[in-house]
Amino acid sequence: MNTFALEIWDDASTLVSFYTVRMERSEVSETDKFMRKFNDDERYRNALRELVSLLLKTMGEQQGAHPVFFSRGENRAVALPPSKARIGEITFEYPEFPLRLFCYRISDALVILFNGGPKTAASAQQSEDLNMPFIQANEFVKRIEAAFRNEMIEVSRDERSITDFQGNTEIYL
Amino acid sequence: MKNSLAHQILEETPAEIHQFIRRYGELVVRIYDLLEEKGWTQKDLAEKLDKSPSEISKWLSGEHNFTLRSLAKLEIELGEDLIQIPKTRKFRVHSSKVIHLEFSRSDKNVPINEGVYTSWKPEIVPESSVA
Repeated sequence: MNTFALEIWDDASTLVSFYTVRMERSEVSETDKFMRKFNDDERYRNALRELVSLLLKTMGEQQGAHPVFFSRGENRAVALPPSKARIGEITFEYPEFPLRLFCYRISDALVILFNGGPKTAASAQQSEDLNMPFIQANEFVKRIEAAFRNEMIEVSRDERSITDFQGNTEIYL
Repeated sequence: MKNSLAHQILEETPAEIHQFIRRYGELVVRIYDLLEEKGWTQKDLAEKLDKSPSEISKWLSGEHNFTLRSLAKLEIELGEDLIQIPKTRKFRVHSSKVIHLEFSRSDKNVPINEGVYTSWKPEIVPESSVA
């Protein structure tokens, strides 16, 4: 996998900071690619609105990144010391919710968002539309986890930001 | 830092979608937290409700479209209210015309003569209808 930036997607909410990843040669983050694609698609626009409301209002301002909103993905990531981070997806299937957004919940206050797609099968691996974004998300997580393990990056004390070991917020992995 | 695209999407989202998502979030968090508090697994809840564990899993992941009946059943098994409806109180003021005033109290625990009334709606009742 090529180098990517780990950067803030939105940290303006009261309770949660959302990070995302952006391939080094791209100007658009993976999460914004997801947002643009489905905002432009009438079939999924309302579902996307529900998802964004869940992220920024329900999680960001009311409940935090509560575990109940996240399902564990088929490939469970190894737990990061000391927190129990998990790759998964935003669980929002009320009812038959058509989109999946892959993510990595680090804590109630810190989530990394990736890309996703329309849900056409029971699992990401079975779905043609989701297989590649899911494989990609797992690759991102492996690189991020390794960086945490090697102490190249760390979570701030208030769990609202990620920096490198020198305190810089610009992170390339 | 605000994500401009996401906030644009938020602004374009109808209010009822925000309200629905807010209620969904409150409900699933409340159920999840009550289960944690009681030390119950989803299997425990499933047995009490005579449902399968996979059905309970669907409930908690939002795949189930809750009805008032299913919510009532959950409330009984969990022993706690999951939803609360604001209470109103009506009283009648007698004069040459009868006026119904409906107040919504912001705090149901405060006695009615001390509470802060957040809204009122006057309705003039025709004299012929007064008993």
